Amino acid sequence: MSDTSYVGAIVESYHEVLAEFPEAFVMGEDVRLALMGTTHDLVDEYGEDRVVDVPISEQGFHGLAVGAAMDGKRPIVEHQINTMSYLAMDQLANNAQRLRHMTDGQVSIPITITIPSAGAPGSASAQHSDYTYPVLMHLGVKVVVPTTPTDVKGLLHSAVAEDDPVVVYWPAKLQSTREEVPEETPEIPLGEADVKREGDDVTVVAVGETVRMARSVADDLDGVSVEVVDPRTLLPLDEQTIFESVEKTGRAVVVDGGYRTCGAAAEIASRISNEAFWSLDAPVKRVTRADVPISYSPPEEEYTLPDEETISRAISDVVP
Amino acid sequence: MEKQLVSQIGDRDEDLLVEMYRQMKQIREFEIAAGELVRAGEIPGPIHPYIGQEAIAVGTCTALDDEDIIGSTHRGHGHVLAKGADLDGMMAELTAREAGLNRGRGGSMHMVDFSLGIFGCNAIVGASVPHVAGGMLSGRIDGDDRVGVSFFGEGAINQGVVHETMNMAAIWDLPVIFVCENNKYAVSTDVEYAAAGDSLASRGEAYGIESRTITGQNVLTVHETISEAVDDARAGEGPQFVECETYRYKGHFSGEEAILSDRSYRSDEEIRDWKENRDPIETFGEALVESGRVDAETLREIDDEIDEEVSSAVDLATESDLPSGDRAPENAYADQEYPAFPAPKYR
Ligand SMILES: Cc1ncc(C[n+]2csc(CCOP(=O)(O)OP(=O)(O)O)c2C)c(N)n1
Repeated sequence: MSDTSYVGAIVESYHEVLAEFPEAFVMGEDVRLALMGTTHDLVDEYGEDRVVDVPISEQGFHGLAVGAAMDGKRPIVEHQINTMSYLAMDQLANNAQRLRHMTDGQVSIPITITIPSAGAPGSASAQHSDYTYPVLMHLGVKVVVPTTPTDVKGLLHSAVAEDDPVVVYWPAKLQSTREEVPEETPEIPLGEADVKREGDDVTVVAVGETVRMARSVADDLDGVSVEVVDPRTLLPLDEQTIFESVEKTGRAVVVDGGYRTCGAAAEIASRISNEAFWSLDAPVKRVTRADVPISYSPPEEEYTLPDEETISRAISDVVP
Repeated sequence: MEKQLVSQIGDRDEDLLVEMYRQMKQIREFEIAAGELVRAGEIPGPIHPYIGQEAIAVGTCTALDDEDIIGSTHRGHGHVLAKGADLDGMMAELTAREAGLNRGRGGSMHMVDFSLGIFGCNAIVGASVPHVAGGMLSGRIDGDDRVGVSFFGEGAINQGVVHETMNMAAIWDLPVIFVCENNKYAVSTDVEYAAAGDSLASRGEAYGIESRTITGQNVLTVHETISEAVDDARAGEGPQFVECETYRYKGHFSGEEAILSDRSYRSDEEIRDWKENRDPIETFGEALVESGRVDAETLREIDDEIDEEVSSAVDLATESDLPSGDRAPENAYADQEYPAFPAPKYR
């Protein structure tokens, strides 16, 4: 075990996957200098052909990644800013995501895209503060959101090994968190949720930085025993773990930092309502970001984002 | 450069000369004060200092009429100020106050003032370029003779949307002046590495757009070149492209020094060379005095006035009220006839 930060785990993980997969390479803006702190020493070790600085041409370099993938590579595309996936949307949605199906399996597109999210440390304003995964989930793109350094290592490895495009989000608010990480990279397959805290009265399904919030709310609540389930992969979603937890507790609150309408929480809440309906003692509640763009103004940003107080209110609304 | 400046000064209108000096100095002092506010923890988001590039904003905006429009970037303070935005409102926007240009909603990267033709700073590289062309398309429908200036960095020259816009502006002869501020680096990425071809101006030429490369450190050269481009565009000769060679003295953004302290992408000598030999404000001030057109005393008075103006803006920006959080849903949807939208974070 070694004490590792979230960002440190990303660095180690990039080194490991480049070593393990000779067909993998990293491309992104300012990756050689490690502007985002995630690609330290990568270029020294693997050279400029496998650690590629790109011009500011998002749609173009995502398209190149698709082409390289068609030619047998495993490109890893790193974003500097969360909303850049919108610029690359044509290559992600119309191309990467559907080429395997469209060509009847003649190609697979094993691209990994990493995205810092969702705008912290605060006041990044409306154009730099989104979680973009609901759009990708809607389109059928695999989405992973690791919330601990250990999850980072296991899940990035699985994402790179996957034969389909996978988008991995690094919640900005978690990037300085630390924990003891096993020496050997843990095997965490895509689509396997993790019960981050056990409890009996209510299930809180939380995504990204809200996992930490939910755990802290749970620790502070007297008399209510809260189970916190971290899906880790939003698509494919590990329904089984979530349903089992809801069957045990009879209540569910779904928490996510993305927008509310058509968001990840909407999808998860709907599946719980459909499939675990007879176990529910109360309606499923959602705590998400409000449906407004994020303001530069700190009080407005705070008003818009989910927080511990709202999670706690949702829990008391479903637990009598 | 100073000698050249003296001869360019010639018998130019003194008010304009003084105004150019004043505006450049105002931008510089605004930026210095903003940097101090960042260090004091008064600015919640990142800022991208324009220090070193002032001659481009000022040389360009002094060639425009009030009705003309500009589009700007993440590094937009200089453009906005030169087009006439309120200094107090800008400073208060940085500190996210009620008194800010966008009432604290936008911050450094989103300042606007549509009444002054400022279509806005934009945090997505290249994104404001089509907006300016769209303004000109609208102007064509109205039959007016406004021109639009689109400011963008050399990094944006590799964005597809910039090329799509140059093409449409060219096929429709829209009066857009593409002002590419080549400060050599897009964050750490050198333009020599990132942009193919002999010159950035050749990108404009490819669309049949009249294109040139000039120094961006000489405010008069910028002013003269942009004035000609404006005249041509207004006369219906279509879009123009001007690459201005310049340099940013500071890091890419206010947080850069903290994250890149152990690794650099440019040499100290290079930075020193630009600061010491090509500073747009110093060389212009010296040339003004040397030309005999403006005396040193006048410049000093301007400096003092700006100091006062900036420090009073800082006071306002730090002492006025923060807006309350619950107005976040305002304007989230153009008209709020639909009670279920915008959806709250919990219900
Ligand atoms: C489309 C897009 N890609 C990446 C970024 C992140 N980013 C912000 S500024 C910048 C560099 C821009 O360089 P340039 O256009 O030369 O302007 P400068 O910063 O030099 O003024 C980058 C990569 C962004 N904001 N938008």
